[in-house]
Amino acid sequence: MVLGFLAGLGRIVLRACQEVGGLALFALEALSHLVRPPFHGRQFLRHFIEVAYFSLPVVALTALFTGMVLALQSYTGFARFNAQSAVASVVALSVTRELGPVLAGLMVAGRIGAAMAAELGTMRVTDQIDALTTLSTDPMKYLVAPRLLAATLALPLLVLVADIIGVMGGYLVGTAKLGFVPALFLNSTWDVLETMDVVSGLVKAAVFGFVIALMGCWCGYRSRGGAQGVGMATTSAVVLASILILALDYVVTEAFFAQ
Amino acid sequence: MTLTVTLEGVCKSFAGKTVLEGVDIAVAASSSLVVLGGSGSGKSVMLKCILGLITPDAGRILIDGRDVAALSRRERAALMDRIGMLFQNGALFDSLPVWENVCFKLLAQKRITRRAARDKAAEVLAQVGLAASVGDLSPAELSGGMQKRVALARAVAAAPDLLFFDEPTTGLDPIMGAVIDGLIVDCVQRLGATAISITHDMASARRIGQRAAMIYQGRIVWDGPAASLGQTGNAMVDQFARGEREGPISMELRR
Repeated sequence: MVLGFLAGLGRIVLRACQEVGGLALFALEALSHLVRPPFHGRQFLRHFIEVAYFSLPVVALTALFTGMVLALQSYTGFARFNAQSAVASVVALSVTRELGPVLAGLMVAGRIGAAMAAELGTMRVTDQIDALTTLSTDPMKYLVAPRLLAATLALPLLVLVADIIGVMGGYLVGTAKLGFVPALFLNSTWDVLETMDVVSGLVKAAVFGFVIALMGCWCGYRSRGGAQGVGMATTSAVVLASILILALDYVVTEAFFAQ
Repeated sequence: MTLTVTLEGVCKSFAGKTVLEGVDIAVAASSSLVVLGGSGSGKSVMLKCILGLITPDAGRILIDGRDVAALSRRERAALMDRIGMLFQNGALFDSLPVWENVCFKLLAQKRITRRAARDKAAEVLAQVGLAASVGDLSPAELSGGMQKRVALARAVAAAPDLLFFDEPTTGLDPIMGAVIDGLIVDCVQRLGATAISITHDMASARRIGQRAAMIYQGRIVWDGPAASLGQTGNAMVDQFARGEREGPISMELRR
């Protein structure tokens, strides 16, 4: 019984190692295509617009309401310590360092990661990926590399917009509802922010963008078994990307701010 | 210059299930071979092995006398440039309009400008009996027969030397099937290409093949003129050609 348990455990570990190794090789091969011609600029542009432009409304709304809630929550919480004046600083730091990149990442994972997995999965089960090979086109170069680059470059732009809108949400609630003087709120925000606060958020965004596209492409590219397989690939892509975003958020934060 | 294809003892298994068990067959340059076989007999796997989409477990596949497994990435790409393939379900790229599908290979290799590709697509679509206006449609807007014709146009647009057709008439009505077969014969003759088709449609096999071979349980069990199908003297082939229930080929049915 113990041997059976250990054998089962061993199989799980081996399977996990196989998956991680496969994912690493997949990522490396995709990255190698980014520096080797020919390049598919039109594909890159299509996916960049898809990620950066069409994700803007959902990311902007998420950032706006997050900033508004943050101002309200921190005001009521800080009132217990007579520290209401810190609201502007808390909103600015939380949004730029943490909430902007993480929430934008999670939103884009749901929108773009799922779409990538579904599109590539459907292409796999309908032989379109094999067709690419027979048309002298490397599927990794044509399908995966442009998506990885597009998401990695587009997410920082989205997060920059999310930062501005998130702080604006806090400003709106702070001035319209909580009675802050507009100029003082903006001054507090400006004074507390350092370049590294924004830069760290943008680096996180680039990492999250890469992870979202990687998981979307990885899960979709390997999908099997018709509609059910595509559905499973889509779910896996979103779940794995979301977990990795939260885990890598800690890693990047540690890299930037650990004392 | 057209290509020859030779398979020597090709074997392939999936998760312990043997699909190909030593396939041997040779296709001469500029000839047309039809491979017959029931569902699950390994026809598509054999085709994917030749195309390099699946790696065989054993045996050799020679195209123009060169072992495809020994080719470098660059040599394999050069070989792919000379190959055209029509997939069973068309496998058209649904994110691209028809004209881009047709000229995909030419555009991807930058052998043609986008403006010239539209004209080229119209020319190739005309060869398969479709109007130039079809080029602006999305594949999802086409009927099954039109999708097959667009897929055929895509397969022949770059004037390949070797053509593969995977179940070209599956899912089509008999008249449309005959139309597609006629177009395939026209395209193959015009290009002077070597053609390998797989099908279980006997009428289609007689129309498009000069030679036919039958695959059963992972082996080639018969090879001869396509015109003789039905009167080959081989009990398995004749049973298959006549669609008879009783005979040496037994379908595994659970009751």
